[in-house]
Amino acid sequence: MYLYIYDSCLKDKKYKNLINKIENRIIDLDIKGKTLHLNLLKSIDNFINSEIKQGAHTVVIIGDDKTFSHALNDVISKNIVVGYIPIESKSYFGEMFGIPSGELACNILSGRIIKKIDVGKINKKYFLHSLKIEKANDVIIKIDNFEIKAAPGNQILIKNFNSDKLEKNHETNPTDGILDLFIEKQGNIFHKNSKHTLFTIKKIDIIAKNESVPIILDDYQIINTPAKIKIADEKLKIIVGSNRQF
Amino acid sequence: MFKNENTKNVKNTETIIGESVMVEGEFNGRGNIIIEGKLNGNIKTDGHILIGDKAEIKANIESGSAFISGKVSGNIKVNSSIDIAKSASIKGDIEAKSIAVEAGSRINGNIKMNGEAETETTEIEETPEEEADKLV
Repeated sequence: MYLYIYDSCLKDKKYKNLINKIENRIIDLDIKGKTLHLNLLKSIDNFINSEIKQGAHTVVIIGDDKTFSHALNDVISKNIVVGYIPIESKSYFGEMFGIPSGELACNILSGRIIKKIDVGKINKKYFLHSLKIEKANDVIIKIDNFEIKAAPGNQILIKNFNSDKLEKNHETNPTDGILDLFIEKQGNIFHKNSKHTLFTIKKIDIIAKNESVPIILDDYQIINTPAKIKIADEKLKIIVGSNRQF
Repeated sequence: MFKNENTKNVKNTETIIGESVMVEGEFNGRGNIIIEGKLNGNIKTDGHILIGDKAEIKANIESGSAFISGKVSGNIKVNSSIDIAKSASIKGDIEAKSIAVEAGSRINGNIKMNGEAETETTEIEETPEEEADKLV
């Protein structure tokens, strides 16, 4: 059985046509299931737990990349297959996973090519593609038995995989079991021939030199230092298309 | 020879310490390492280490092979070959199977070729190119 979790914004009239097309396609492909609309005040955790007990095997997130990343924290520990229907034509996750937007994504769901990918973990939160610290010189990075300090004017990116085509100069892979730590001048990262710093890591600690420093998680959420970051033991089982980029 | 070495294995590099970064402590890397910044402590890898001309290293170095064009204060031990460029400045002992030294490099320390019983003490400053070739 499928569970469909809708972003709360999809109640808006402008999405009515799109939702109708998606739901019709779901019926055509005989992959119907229960639905839930996300609400900022409501956790989907209990809903998913209860449905798993009743035989649910797949959770499908319908929304944008922010919705998908947000929902990840509630589904990753459930050991359940995850699907994604991007509603925006430009979706980094959709591109990464080879999933077209709108009703075409239903064909990918129906195909059920399932891959296990890495996710990162910062303190108790999961992240899918990256963490960012804008002022690298405000923190000390600790890896195993050594420390890294950066000069002013640099930023730090910790990546599970690239979220943007512009970053293709630096190959990342969500199935390699490592995170890539980049340090580069602000505004210059991933430009061709940029002189960056790179460490491949499984876990690191980040502490502030003075006051707590914000870390941006998957481009939408902020967590403050100190932070323990690692590749999570849990893997995300996700339905992907044949045009996936890994 | 040295120009080619400078780009050796860059594509397979797992660690890059850029110019704007300082690393302190015991760094045990995997694979090839490029250092353009500062490092204090010790560094060890089975792969290739490239130390760029702006790098400043105060550390003992152990690696599979090495190319040095920056400043190193510490002992260097490589399993195979080490290439020392003219911009390099090394204060410490070097142990390797083969050593190539470019004219102009500065080395203050003992040089030991692996597999040989004798230890040779060498100080090279502004070495003429012909003599440097003899050391290879």
